[in-house]
Amino acid sequence: MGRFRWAFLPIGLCALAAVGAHAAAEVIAHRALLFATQVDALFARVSFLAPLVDIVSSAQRTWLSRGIALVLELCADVLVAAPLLGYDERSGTQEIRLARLFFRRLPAWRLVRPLAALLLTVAGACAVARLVRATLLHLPFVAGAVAALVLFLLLALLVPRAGFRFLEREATRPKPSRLTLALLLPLAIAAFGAFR
Amino acid sequence: MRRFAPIEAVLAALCLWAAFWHTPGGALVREAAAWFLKVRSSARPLLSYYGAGSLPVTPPPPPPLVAPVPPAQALAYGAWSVMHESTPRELQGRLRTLSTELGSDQAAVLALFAGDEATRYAVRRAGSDADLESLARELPPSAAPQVSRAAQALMNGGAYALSWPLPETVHITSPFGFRSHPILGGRRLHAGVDLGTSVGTPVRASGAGIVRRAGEDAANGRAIVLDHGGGVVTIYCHNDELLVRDGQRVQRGQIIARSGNTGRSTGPHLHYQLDLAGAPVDPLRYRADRPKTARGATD
Repeated sequence: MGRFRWAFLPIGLCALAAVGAHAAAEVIAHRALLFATQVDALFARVSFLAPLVDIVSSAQRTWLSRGIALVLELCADVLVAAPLLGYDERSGTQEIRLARLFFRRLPAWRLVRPLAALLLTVAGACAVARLVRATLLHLPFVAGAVAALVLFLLLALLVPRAGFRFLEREATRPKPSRLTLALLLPLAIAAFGAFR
Repeated sequence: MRRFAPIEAVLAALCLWAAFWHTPGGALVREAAAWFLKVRSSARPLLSYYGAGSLPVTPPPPPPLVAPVPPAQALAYGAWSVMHESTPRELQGRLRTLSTELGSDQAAVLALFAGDEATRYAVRRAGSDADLESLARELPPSAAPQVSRAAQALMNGGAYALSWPLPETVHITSPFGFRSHPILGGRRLHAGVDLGTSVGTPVRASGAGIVRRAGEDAANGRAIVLDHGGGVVTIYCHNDELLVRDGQRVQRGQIIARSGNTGRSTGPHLHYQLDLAGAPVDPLRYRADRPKTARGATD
């Protein structure tokens, strides 16, 4: 199986980041809708702002909030998930040594993308464990144990690798644009909401 | 690291399964693959991957009613209109039992479509007071079609629960549907029903809800938009006087306006409109008793 690691590991990492991006995007869609409702309540109290409440209907708001989330998610797929498709065979100790080196060498703001990748993959690990648990809901005792095991293994084996790959990428590639950071930051923050 | 390769392979397969079937990105890949291989795609619309399929979708027209819907059975009628099986009376019994066991009507309707066991699991995880979307989030994404049908049933139930804004004796002067516009000319959709009534007649809220808009414009005159929740909205136009304010919570049957002849109108009448998931539908489809039609004022 080890001979095919170059094939399945990058695909697994890319898929894990994509699932995490989706989990974070769903948090954004939910929060955007809640925010619109709160703004409505605020506007409704002020007479000259009240007519604005009806400009976008509740159904349109749902579509709109999910549309925004979809755009952010697809951006994260391109900016975080797709770059994880690369592969270099190294030992664990070698990777830890390199990670320390990159960590010291990079300025703080260039750690944003590796941090975003790390947060999104942790959110992805939680989402995969949750999906496994929900799929096995007819076997409640087994489901919880299997989900916990999957979460532990993902956090131990795949998530650190995603963080490392982005540290390495950040150290060897030109600096990311402001737009890239502006797109990733909301998802990285929303990823905290998907840790459940 | 190679000694963990079999475990890593299993984990990668799990991640790929999750991404391929349960994310919009995976749906795009499936769509592209289906296009390339010239086969039918199994991917859902991209936005349905959020909220676990609870996005309000305008339900198909419900079956015609043979008798009035008792308000207490509105939810059962809503479920029956989507299920097309059993009878509203039987469903009412099942819904009452499920609602008592699960703690809410929304969970009860979800249980009808997604099954008891799955809904109990979702209630355990999200809480008994959780709404449909929060419950749906705890279910596997394969349950999205059932969640969507539950959302439609709740919306239809909300529509069946509505009362009529004016006395039943008031005649309909222009029904819902395409017609030649009396003022602008040309064939246009009349998005509601016109009820010919004199100026000053009390207009009652057809259900409990929140006033989304109480204001005036050139086309609708003095109009009220009431949001009943779950994608059900009613609109009352051409009033003479509005008795509620934006953001106010109103009860079913509460007098919210006095009818009039304001805005684009040929005479005193009330334009009553029912929107489901943002799309206008014929409010008479959700009633067994139909007011008589007569020639008269319209818009």
